[in-house]
This record gives sequence, C-alpha cells and structure tokens, in this order.
Amino acid sequence: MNPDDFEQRLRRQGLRQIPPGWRQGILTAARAPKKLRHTSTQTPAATALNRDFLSIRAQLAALLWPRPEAWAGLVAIWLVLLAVNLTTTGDKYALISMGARPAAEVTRVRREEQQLLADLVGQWKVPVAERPKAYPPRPRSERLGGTLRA
Amino acid sequence: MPAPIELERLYDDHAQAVFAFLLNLTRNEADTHDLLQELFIRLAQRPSLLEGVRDQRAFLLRIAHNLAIDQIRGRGARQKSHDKWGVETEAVFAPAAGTDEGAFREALAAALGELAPEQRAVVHLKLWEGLTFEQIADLMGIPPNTAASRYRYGLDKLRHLLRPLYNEIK
Repeated sequence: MNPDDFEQRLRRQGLRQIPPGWRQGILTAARAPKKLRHTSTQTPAATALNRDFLSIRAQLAALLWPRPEAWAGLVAIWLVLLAVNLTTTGDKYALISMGARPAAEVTRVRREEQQLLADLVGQWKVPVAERPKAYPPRPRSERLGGTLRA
Repeated sequence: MPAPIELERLYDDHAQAVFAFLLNLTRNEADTHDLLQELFIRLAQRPSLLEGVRDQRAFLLRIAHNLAIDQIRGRGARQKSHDKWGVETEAVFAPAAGTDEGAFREALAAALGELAPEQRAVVHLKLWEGLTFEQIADLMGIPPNTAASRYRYGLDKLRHLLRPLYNEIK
C-alpha cells in the first residue's frame, strides 16, 4: 500500500454535513439572554451532572411514589419508637444502676468467703514429697541366705 | 456582542468544519450539538475573543478542541474511564455513492474510533482541514514534533486496520 495513495484516499472521503436545522437553534441560543438559556450556559460537564441528578431523583421518586401511604406508616412507626425510647431513657438508667449494685455485692461477699477460707485452711503449702528410705545396699547372696533360713 | 450578521457569517463559514471535527472527536451527535452551541454562546458573550484573530477557522477549531477536552475530562472524572469516548458509532462521513466506498467509509469511521482522541484530532486536522503540523501544534497546545508523531502513528494504525479492505477495493 503506497502511503501517499492511502492518505489521498482518506482525504477524499467526504465528511458528514451539519444538519440544516441546527443553524437557527444555535444562533438563537447564542443571542438569547443569559436567563433564558437553561442548560446552554452551563459547561457540558455541568449539564451532564445535572442530567445525572435528575435521573437519580426520578429513580427515587419511582421507588417511593407507588406506595406513599406505606412509607408514611413507616415514618409514623419510627416516630412512635423514638418517642417511647426517649420517655423510657430514665428508667433504663435506673435499671442499669440497679443491675450494677448486686454485682458489687456479690464481689464483696465472694471476697469475704475467700478470706474466711484462707483463715480456715491456712496458707497453702506445697506438700513435700516423702523421701525414700535409705537402705544400705546389701549383697544379693545375704538376702537369699536369709530367705532360705526363714 | 458582535452584530447578529457576524455570528451568522461565522456559522456559515466555519460551522461545518467545526461540526465535522467535533463529531469525529465525540462520535456523538447530541454532544456535538451541545459543544457547537456552547462555542457560539461564548463568541456571543465575549466578542473580544475574535479581535486580532487572523485565522478564524483555526481559532474556532481551537475553542472546539478545548471544549471537547473539557468534556472528556468531565466524563473521565465521573466514569473513571475514557474508553467509551469515541467508540460510539455515529456516522462521521457522508453517505457514499458506491457500495465499496460506503464499506470503506464505515471501516474508516470504525478505525478512527480505535485511535485515542488526541491522535484522532491530529489526524482529522491534518487530513480533512489540511493544517500544517505547526498549525495543529498551535491549535492543540503541543509541540510540532508531537503533532507529527501522533499523525504518523495514527496513520500507521489506520493503514494496519484498513489494509485488507483497502487492498480488496483498490
């Protein structure tokens, strides 16, 4: 493939024509006051972000709208639970403090019992193992003779 | 603000070239419309942009390129990938008369989509706008050598991708 031929071939490919209807719209938008241009004055990136936000909002609406009474009921239940929780907060602390008192008493009683046990039993000593008796070694012949005599 | 006739003249003289460039870059007609409209809105808001500009088309192509790059970066931040950019198969070329020519244009459009956007921009400006590497470098804010190498590598890739079809219908 000759490079020049190839380039010439590419250059000859006609590019697509701009749609004729665009002219009026683009020139009108360019001349329009800033307030009237909704998305045209934004950058393309901002326009795309705006589109994304609107899409997310539409999806949320589609999710929540079919059963608005169900969501309202859920909110009501949540509010009731919150109210009950707030009103019983003081009792809860009382229960916690009551629950803590027996635990301290049990600890004290257990400490007293341990003290009593220590007094009764005394200090724990490691038992000393009995030492084996030291027999003087005797010859086997003497032991055998004694047995026969008996 | 320039007189309305000035905006219209700019549109009539250069909108086709800017449209083709943006369409080749974005491969999306709606994005191309938004970017072209944004370009003319900026021109209307700041007519001083055109003061002292000798080559208006190159200047408009430069603004269009910057807008397109902003769009790429904006999408990249949200999609964490630029891969989808340029892969869409919007028709870039005019319908061809013959079947072979039509097949070649389709294959060329697909092959252009395989190039990186910056490479595709250089190839487009060189082949279809006839700009020099110095002009392309000035337009894209890159050194001329970089523009030349991007064009060479881009053309090599197109040649590689189109070789079977090109040899068949030559």
